[in-house]
Amino acid sequence: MNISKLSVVVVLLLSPFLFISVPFANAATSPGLGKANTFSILSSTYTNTVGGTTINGDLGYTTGPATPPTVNGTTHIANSTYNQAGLDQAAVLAILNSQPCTHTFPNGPIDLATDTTHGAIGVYTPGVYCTGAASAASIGAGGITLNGGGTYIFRIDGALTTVANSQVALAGGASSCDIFWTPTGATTLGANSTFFGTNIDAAGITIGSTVTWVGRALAFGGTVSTDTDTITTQACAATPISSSSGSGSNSSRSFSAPSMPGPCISDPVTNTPLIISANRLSPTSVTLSWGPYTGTDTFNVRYGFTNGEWLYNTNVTGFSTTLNDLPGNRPIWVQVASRNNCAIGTYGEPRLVGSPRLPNTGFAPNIMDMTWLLLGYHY
Amino acid sequence: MRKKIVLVFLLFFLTLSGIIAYDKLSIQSLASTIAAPSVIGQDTSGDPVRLKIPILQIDAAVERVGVLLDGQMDVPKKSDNVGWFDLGSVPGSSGSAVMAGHFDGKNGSPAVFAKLDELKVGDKVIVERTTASPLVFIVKGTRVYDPGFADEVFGQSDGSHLNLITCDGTWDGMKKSYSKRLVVFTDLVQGE
Repeated sequence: MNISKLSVVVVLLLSPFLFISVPFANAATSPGLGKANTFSILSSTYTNTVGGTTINGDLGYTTGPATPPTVNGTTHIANSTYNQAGLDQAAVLAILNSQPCTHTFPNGPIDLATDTTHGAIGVYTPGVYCTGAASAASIGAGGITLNGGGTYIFRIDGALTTVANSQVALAGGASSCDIFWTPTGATTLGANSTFFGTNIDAAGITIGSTVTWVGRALAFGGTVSTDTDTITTQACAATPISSSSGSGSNSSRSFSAPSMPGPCISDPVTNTPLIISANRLSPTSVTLSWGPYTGTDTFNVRYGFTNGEWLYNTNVTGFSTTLNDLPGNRPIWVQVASRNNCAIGTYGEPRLVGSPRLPNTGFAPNIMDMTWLLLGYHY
Repeated sequence: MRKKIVLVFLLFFLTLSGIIAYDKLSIQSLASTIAAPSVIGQDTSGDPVRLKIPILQIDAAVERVGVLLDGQMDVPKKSDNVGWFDLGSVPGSSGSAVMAGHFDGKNGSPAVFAKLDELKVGDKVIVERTTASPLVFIVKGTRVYDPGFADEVFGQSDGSHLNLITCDGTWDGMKKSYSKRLVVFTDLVQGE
């Protein structure tokens, strides 16, 4: 064996070790948000044309809406706090962009709900997720679950879109304080969807009707539109990004990097629901109910075709739900967990729902028995 | 005259072959359409391979069955086998594993679960698995159902159960089905 062949062999033998990735060697961190911390919506132009939007946090804009929303916070109209929050938004974006990707999706548009290149379908653990160059991201009907305490950064080189009724769900200690979306294109959230985290997007944020969002829509320099939505901003950990000087200079700033989720407005989730009844309504739909009936009436229901492999989830208010558009007559496995605006609790025991009709295991007394007997035919 | 006899026999055998073909066709049409996909690398060490009920002298191979087009649980192809509903629980895991067995064969002879109604509370049911150690279940009760849905047979979520199903009641020629279903409920007592 000559030297070149030997070197090839050595490289091949070492290659598994050479390609061991170290994506989590530098865990992503959550920057403080400075003055932007208390804003549910920060925008240059804020558009709202119908009543019914509730903002549980601060609102900031230069050009205001035709119809004012209900603001359970302070409205800042082009004042100094507003301007500083805008500077801090840019600073936070720079910090988020400086963190290395722990996973980069293949080039092209990515549906986060169906992607499998990052790991289990629909489930994301803390990390920095980056789309390919000029590649948009969407969240399809299956929704996604962010599972585990830590920082999530979704760096999208394009637009971010969620489809109607889609869900971003939190589990295992994930907190909206530690979730960041930084699309370079516009953000559009589908009607009746649920979304968590701070979205920094000066290209504009359009929030479809009756969206529930826990986090912040930060579009200083751009437009934010709402439509009968509810946007709630958690009281996250102290964030002194601009407290020392307010100059906007990085050198004068300290950045908190909470390793634990920030304090939550809601009480902890303690109930573990048990599915009480389940029935098939049609070949493609099932219904189920659960308890206990005290403590909370908001739940997350997740389901799939194999026990432990959860493909879909949906948020439910109340103690029963009907799941539609299922594959014909196929049973599904279902779990239910209590939830509030901050987190999802422990899922109860999985249960098979939509079970089949009892089998027909008998045969007719055979009138041809004598014939078969005469012919010596046996099954 | 001889030609007539040959013709009659020919007609008889043509009719007979038609009946057999129809019979086979109707069996084919019941073929399972929904079954759990086999996954490369999936752990099958705990899958059931034989069912033994000592007191009834039952020692049967286990087939995997799914759901028929009409939403009914499929049945084993052989009347001396039992069918494990593999879209549901695996025996020994959380929930209710379900196995069905024929009550009778097509020739009228007793099939694997012909005497299932003789099981009593406390009788032992053993499930042998691919490589994992056998599981022992104890009969805790029986119940007769009408044909149709019976979610509690498949959907219990507390503990580990094995439920055995066969036909019961009287034959309904119009529906081509017995009038009732017998379910024997068992609880895991040994294994896992």
